[in-house]
Amino acid sequence: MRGSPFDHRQDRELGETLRAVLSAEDDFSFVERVLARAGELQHNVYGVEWWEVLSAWARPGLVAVAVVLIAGITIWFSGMSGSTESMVALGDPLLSAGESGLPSALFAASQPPDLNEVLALVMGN
Amino acid sequence: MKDPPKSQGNPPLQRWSAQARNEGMEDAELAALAHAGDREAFGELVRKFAGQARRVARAVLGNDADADDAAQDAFLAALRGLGRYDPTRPFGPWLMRIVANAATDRRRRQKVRAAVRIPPQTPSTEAQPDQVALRLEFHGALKTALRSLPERRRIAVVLFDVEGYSHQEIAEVLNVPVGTVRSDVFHARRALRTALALWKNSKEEIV
Repeated sequence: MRGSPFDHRQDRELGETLRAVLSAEDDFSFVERVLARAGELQHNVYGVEWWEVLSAWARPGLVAVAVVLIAGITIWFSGMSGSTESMVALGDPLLSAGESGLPSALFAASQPPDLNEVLALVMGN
Repeated sequence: MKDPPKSQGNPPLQRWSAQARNEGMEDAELAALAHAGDREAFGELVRKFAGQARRVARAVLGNDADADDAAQDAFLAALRGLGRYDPTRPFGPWLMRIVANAATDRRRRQKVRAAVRIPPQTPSTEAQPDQVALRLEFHGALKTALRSLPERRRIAVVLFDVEGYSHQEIAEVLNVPVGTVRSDVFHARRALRTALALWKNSKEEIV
């Protein structure tokens, strides 16, 4: 294949001429431009430092903590008021019983009331 | 497999290499580092291949600004696609394929816009005492001759004669058989030499 016109070597003269025609000036500016653009791209892909990640999360993190705190306090307060209501509810029958004529001594006494007294009150003396 | 492509045309680029540790590093190593996020390694690759990429883009696109945009797009595409680069193969052909594709895509988009056809230039019969003007005219004529070639032949002859890639590597860049590359280089050379022959008498003055 040595004599084949397609089995050629590099034509230095043509190569140099084409190089002179095609070579651009100021490769430095071009390189700087590409690197600046690549820097932006890399920053988006994997160039973010740990403090940048933390700072990026700081604001939503603070908001999340505030929301959790408010929610917690609200639930705690509602829990407190709910337990108060339930105590009142348990006392209601006794209160209503007191209002219906039962002597307060029955509730205030340290000793259990005598059965005969209770029966007498219930059966209308 | 031959050495990675040469960057003969950019002596000043050597100065710019700020990172001494990257000097002498294989392209595959630089590519691996760049893929891992090493900006200096990517910078080294850009410095090394900037001249080639711009020339290949210029071979495809007539407008220098468009060629630079295409070359930049190619570098950024390469950065994004470094994960797909096979480090057992030379980096240059892989990158040049991206450059050629970026330039071709841009030229296709340009086709939508009406292009003004530049008439073939021949040596002027008028006296041209100014050597610079003569050189510019010569370059213009050669550019016109280059532009008259089919795109694949243009890329093939530039990669072979200017950048020093092998037929096999160019075949990988252009995704065609090696025999097609040989034929493309042959025909491109013939056309360019014909154009150069018109300037033969003036060449000594120009160079």
